[in-house]
Amino acid sequence: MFANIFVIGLLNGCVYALLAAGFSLLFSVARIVNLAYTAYWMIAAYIYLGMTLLGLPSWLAAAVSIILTIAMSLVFQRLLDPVKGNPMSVMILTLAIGVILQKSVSFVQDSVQGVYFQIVPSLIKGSTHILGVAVTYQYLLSLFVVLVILAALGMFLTKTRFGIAIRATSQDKQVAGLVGINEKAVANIVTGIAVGVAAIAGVVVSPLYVLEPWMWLQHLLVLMAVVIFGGLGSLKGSMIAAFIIAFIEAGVVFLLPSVGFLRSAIVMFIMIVVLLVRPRGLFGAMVEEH
Amino acid sequence: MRIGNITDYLKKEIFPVPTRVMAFVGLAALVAFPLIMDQPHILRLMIMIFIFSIFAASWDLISAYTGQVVLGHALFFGVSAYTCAMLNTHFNMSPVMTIPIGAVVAVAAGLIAGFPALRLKGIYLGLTTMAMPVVLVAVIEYMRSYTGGEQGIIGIEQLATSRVHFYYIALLLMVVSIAVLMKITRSKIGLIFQAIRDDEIAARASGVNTTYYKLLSFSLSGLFAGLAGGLYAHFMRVIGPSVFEFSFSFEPIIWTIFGGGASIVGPVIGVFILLPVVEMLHVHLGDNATLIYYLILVIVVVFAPGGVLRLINRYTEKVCPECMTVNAFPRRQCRVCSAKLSAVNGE
Amino acid sequence: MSFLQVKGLTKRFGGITAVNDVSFSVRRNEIVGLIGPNGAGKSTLVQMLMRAQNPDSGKIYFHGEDITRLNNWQAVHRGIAGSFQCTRPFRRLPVIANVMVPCTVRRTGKKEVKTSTQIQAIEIMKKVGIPHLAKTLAAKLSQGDLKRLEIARALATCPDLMILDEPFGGLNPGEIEMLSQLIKDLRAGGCSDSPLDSGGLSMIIIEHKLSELMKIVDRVVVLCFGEIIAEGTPAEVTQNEKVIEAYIGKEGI
Ligand SMILES: Nc1ncnc2c1ncn2[C@@H]1O[C@H](COP(=O)(O)OP(=O)(O)OP(=O)(O)O)[C@@H](O)[C@H]1O
Ligand SMILES: [Mg+2]
Repeated sequence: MFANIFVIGLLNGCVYALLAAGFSLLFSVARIVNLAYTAYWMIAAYIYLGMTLLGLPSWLAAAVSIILTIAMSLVFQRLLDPVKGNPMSVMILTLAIGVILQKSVSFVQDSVQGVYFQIVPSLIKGSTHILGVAVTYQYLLSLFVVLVILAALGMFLTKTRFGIAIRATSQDKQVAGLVGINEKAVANIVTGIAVGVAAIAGVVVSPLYVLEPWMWLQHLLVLMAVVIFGGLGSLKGSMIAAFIIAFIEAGVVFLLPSVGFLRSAIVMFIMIVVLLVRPRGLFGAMVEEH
Repeated sequence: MRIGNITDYLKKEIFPVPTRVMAFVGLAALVAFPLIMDQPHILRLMIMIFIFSIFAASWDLISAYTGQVVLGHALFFGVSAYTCAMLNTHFNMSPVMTIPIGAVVAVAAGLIAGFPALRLKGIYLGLTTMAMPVVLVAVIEYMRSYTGGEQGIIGIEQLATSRVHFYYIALLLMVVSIAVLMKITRSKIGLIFQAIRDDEIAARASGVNTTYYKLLSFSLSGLFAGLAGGLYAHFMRVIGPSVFEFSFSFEPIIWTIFGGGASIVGPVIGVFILLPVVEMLHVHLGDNATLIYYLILVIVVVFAPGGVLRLINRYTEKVCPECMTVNAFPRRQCRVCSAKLSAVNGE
Repeated sequence: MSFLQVKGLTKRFGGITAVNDVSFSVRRNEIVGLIGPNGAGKSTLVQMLMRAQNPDSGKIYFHGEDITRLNNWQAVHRGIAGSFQCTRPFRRLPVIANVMVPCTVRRTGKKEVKTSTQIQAIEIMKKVGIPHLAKTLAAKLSQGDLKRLEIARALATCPDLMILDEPFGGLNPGEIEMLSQLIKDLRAGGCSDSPLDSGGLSMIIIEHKLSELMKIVDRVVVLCFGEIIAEGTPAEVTQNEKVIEAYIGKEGI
């Protein structure tokens, strides 16, 4: 029981943390809430699936998927330029982009008859037992890859020159401009990295789930909950919030199976309460307005 | 004398302004419409347009006017629809009773949703309001025996015996609601709402009791969204948890952004254009309609960021720089103060 | 009963003590200059008086009433109005609407004449010298006009005590001259329908342009590292050694 909660909570926590990291990165530099973010995750999984169905080897399919997804996101990014000043329009646009991606997938699915589009083949087969719980190798691989990317992202942002430049841009646009950081280039690269992270997650984690084109909306809500729960823009906060939420979800599902369908609602309820007590999330800057 | 007043008003305030003429003619056409066209599915579409116009305008009030980011507007709509459905099916209450009660319950929901708004702003408030319908759906599914769970509630009584009858009721309620909302937004209350939207701290420093006005805005928005929800329940005669879905919360935002926010008329225009477009797309394209619909949306938001209303205004009217009177586009001189009007239309 | 009295006001931001145990008072119809180097805590202090920020400890009395726990808007209704150092206009509203906002919610004074808020707003804009901008969107104003809009908006609340945070910032010499005259007039006449019997108006003015400031104030309070280091008439303060020391390397007095 608790081992189950641990195994599921750990994986979901890692995935949420990864997505939250990408999302926060996107937010901190571009200052926009990109609702299409989880749709990139979904589209990457589908492109990967499509490529393997076409007979490409897994590694090539993965590479094609990640590159295509990033390219797509950079094109869509252009669309946002004219409405940058209006957050509501940006939200509607990014949401529309997400729906367009979803419906495009449905469209392809419907036009290709006789192919079962929900189960993504594992990169490696087989399973083992840990703490008495059956664990597939795919699960271990996913966990490993997600952890590696998380660590790499952290190192990149804190240790490399470019990572530090990104954080400088996110903290103060004008100063960043003064010391010669090209804001546009940084924004593009950050979008690439953030979407790339989502795409990798899509490719390695999707074999563990049943895939549905509309699932990005549900993930979006959880992701938003994680990011805002942790404090928008706080990487540390969203990491912690990711695991809290993942373990709450897993706990509800395994400990209270009769109300398992309520798990998102319970997470949402807890989040509303937390936000009321701490309006900027757990670790958001509590700067008083002046 | 009274008639004289009215014709005078028409001559002075309606006929010189193209958009007002359009609205006037449009309204007349809507009144006459069922006499010419009685196909049930067209009337059904028109009734939906009326109901959703109220719904969209109520979002415009809370978000575009007052600046409170509400991403779960379906909450108010759905709460009222469910209230009406339950009162009607369990207690046999007539729609004449249930719709006002539903609207009042929606006001209460507005106050509850407004409570977080006293502390939260922007995207934080947006997510909280977006989460509320999710929580409510869980409650509905949990209390199956009263709410019908996933199946929803069926057999709700029709508000009117015939569709044409319903058409006129919905039209009347829409016109009244839009008129009231326009009156509110052009009053002192509307001014304060906009001040809160632009800078809440400055509003407080100007002596505005922001707590009161924010809750007022939430209640008013809840009231009209609730009215729409009640009409919807008694028109559809069946409702389910789908009224709380994301898409239901996002539709009023889409209509408003498309039509032009902070204008009350904008969202109405949005509904009048987009609903028939969606219907047509569905007839011709089936499931792929949504794809095209969102593509159109992207194009409009990117190329006409101010919405359709601003686009129309731009090519039909000029505002006098001296006295703010609205003039028809071809005029060179203001019709009231005779000031010179510039050739190009500056926003 | 004093007009405004501040006792032991303290405010910390994390490790920094922005305002440290500050006590002073303002008399009716008096103009007090609040000066001090950058980061001295001037803005923080007046924000607490305006009730836009909460002190960690200390008390604020206005007309003898303890207003330490009031809201910003409640303080406005008691008669304290202020402008912000960084101007905060209602960007998407025209200037006249900006000024109308306080008019629509202001407390009704004894001498209140029943005039429409629009006329009241135009009156105030005339006083401040921006009637020609009535229809302009606030977002399109220049820095100098924004400063005057802030003052107009504060004035529109009909205050007994008006707090101006760097009103001369971004203004050219001609405009400063005009504004100085306005401040003197206001102190003499007050807001036309203020409930205050004397008719005059008290002010606290923060300003770095000391030569201009000294011409209009009755008394100066000098703040440094959150503490009051000197207090007195302009002549006294400019002679004070501590003050000169605090300003060394800054502007000459
Ligand atoms: N919201 C805040 N959070 C953290 N620190 C703050 C905040 N507001 C002010 N401070 C700090 O408090 C100190 C006093 O700031 P304040 O703005 O009151 O100074 P000031 O005297 O008005 O300076 P200036 O002349 O530059 O306007 C400064 O060190 C500032 O960094
Ligand atoms: Mg300051």
